[in-house]
Amino acid sequence: MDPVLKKPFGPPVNMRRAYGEALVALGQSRPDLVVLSADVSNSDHSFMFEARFPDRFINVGIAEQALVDVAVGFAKCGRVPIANTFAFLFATRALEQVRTHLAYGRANVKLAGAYAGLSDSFDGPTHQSINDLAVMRSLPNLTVVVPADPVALDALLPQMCDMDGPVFFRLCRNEVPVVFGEGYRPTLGRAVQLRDGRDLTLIACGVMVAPALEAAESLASQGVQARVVEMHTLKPLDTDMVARCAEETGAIVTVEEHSIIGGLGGAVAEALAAARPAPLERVGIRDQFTESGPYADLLRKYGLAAPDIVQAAQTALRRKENLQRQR
Amino acid sequence: MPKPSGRQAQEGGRPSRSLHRNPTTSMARQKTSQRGLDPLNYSRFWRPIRPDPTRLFDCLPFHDTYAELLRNTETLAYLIRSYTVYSMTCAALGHPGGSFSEAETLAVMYNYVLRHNPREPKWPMRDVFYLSKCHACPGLYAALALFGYFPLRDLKYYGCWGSHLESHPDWLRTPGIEISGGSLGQIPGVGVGRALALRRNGPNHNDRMVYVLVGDGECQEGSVWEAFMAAGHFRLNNLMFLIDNNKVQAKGFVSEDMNIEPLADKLEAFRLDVHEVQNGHDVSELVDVFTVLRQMRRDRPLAVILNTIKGKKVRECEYNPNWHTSAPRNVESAARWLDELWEQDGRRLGIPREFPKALARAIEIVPPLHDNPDQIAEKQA
Repeated sequence: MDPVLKKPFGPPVNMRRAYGEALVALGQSRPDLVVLSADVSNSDHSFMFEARFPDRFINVGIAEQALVDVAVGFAKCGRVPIANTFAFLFATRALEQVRTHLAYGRANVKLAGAYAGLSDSFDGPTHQSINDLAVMRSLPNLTVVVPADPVALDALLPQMCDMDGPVFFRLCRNEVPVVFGEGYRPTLGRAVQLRDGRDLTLIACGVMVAPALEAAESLASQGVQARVVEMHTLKPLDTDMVARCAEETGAIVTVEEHSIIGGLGGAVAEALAAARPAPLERVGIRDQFTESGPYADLLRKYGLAAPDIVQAAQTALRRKENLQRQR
Repeated sequence: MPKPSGRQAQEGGRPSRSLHRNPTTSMARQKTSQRGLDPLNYSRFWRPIRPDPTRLFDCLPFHDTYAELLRNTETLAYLIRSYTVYSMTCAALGHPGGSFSEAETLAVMYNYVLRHNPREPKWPMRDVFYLSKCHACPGLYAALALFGYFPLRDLKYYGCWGSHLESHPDWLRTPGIEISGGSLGQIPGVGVGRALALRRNGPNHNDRMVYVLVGDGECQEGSVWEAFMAAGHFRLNNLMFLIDNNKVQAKGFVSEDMNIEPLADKLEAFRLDVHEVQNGHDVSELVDVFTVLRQMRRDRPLAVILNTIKGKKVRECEYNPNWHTSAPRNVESAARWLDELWEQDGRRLGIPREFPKALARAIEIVPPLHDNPDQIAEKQA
């Protein structure tokens, strides 16, 4: 059987280029696919689709509300539109259109949120997107997906287009290591266990999957067996997997390139509270705005690197042990 | 435009004939027992002028049919207003001002302009009609019910729990509703997308049209102008914006709250082909304008500014911002409104005097009761 993980990680791949290629591949197999952009096709590399399928590409200009509305019009005609702009703009400027037509009206539109998390690192807090998952997750009927690397994107994008219903997915702007191998076969809505362990579980999404795996290695060298789960679908959340990990490992750490409020950490906290409470540590941006800077430096500064995950894991373990002593 | 004449029809060698019997006069002939009058059985008052509304054909070469078209459409507008009063009073909820200002427009659209099929609401070759000023849906619900998209009796449950007629339209629940909405400014852009997608659907879809009825106050929303800009940019000649220029919004008058004039100049500058209807309550002018526009070659999206009056035909509501949101206070005032409508239109159109009385009697205020908007305002104050 092909391995799920690539060991060691493959050389970094530009996620934007991977997205452009994935769009072109999908455009070949799906004649009903339409790509719309609010003038960001050079940024998110959807220009690759434009070059290949010019009559299925629409630039609506710098007008995010029109972007979502026009995509809804295409969905009404039976097309499968993917609307493209920066992740934060879907969650802010165009949110009302997303709510009314996609969430409430269930228009079959896919939203590609580019430059997610801190990945638009040099454009600063106005462009960085740290609460998009919280916003999107709060909307009924909307599916929320965070592909971790190009392999995940290739596997998940066709599924998002096959399902009949609105989807928001977020994409990193920068180079990311290839985490997954040939054996990675994700299904929307189902978490993927990447590494087994019995002491605690690291649940990660997006570009934080790689540092979570590194943290698990580092914990292993300290004698701690960490299970690692990739939660590519934040909504609907695989609550069974969360409950099982709580049951079997007794402590959980969530890892996301997002605020600790309302994203993966929030979703897992809700699931634990409802199903099986267990100590939970959330690695993410601690309810603050970030700043301009080199991407890797920003991730380190705001507590999103492997050592931060290790530290959070140790805290979670201590809480688990305290709990066991009290019993 | 030249009025078509009966002579033309004769010269064409085609017999001058009615498309169907005038339902109002035939009903009058039946000497219906007034006590047995069921005002929720619309087919006894009115039927569509086009027996098959999926076929677009020109009624105009038949002079007497043109007259009948006008009379029939005016009757429809009268019934839209009357059933709007009925449904709003049953629900103790509604937006009469905007529903009355659009009544003739809806009547002309559904009776003459749109190709649609009430038996198959999602008929793939239909024209698309979007009501962007969604709060004015009581008028649209009445029009759809009169065309048989759903039973007229359902109007009683407008805005009620368990009803398919939401207080603002829900396209997933109501047959004939093309899109959900409520907050303003979000639908013109969908019209742009739909028209753009239709144009790319191939030659079979070339003459399908997308119509979006936009409020004048709604034009204060920035997203409306994103849509206008995109429509002009893409030269969507299969898209028409209808602006219900009724001059009144929730708080006051559009010109005082936030003036949108000169609207025609602005639309022109956005590369729309702008036409104005002098009297948006004159069915004959509306029919003529839409006939001309349909026949015209064009390479731009159309914008038709309809000069209307908010609350038209109920004196209490006309030009009165207080009746933007408010159902008639009680059955008695609804009965007064229905009488007023009959005096102006029903009488001359041959609707029996008993009709508005029977409709008022049919009103049942459906619990749970919504608070009277005035009382809500007092509570909030």
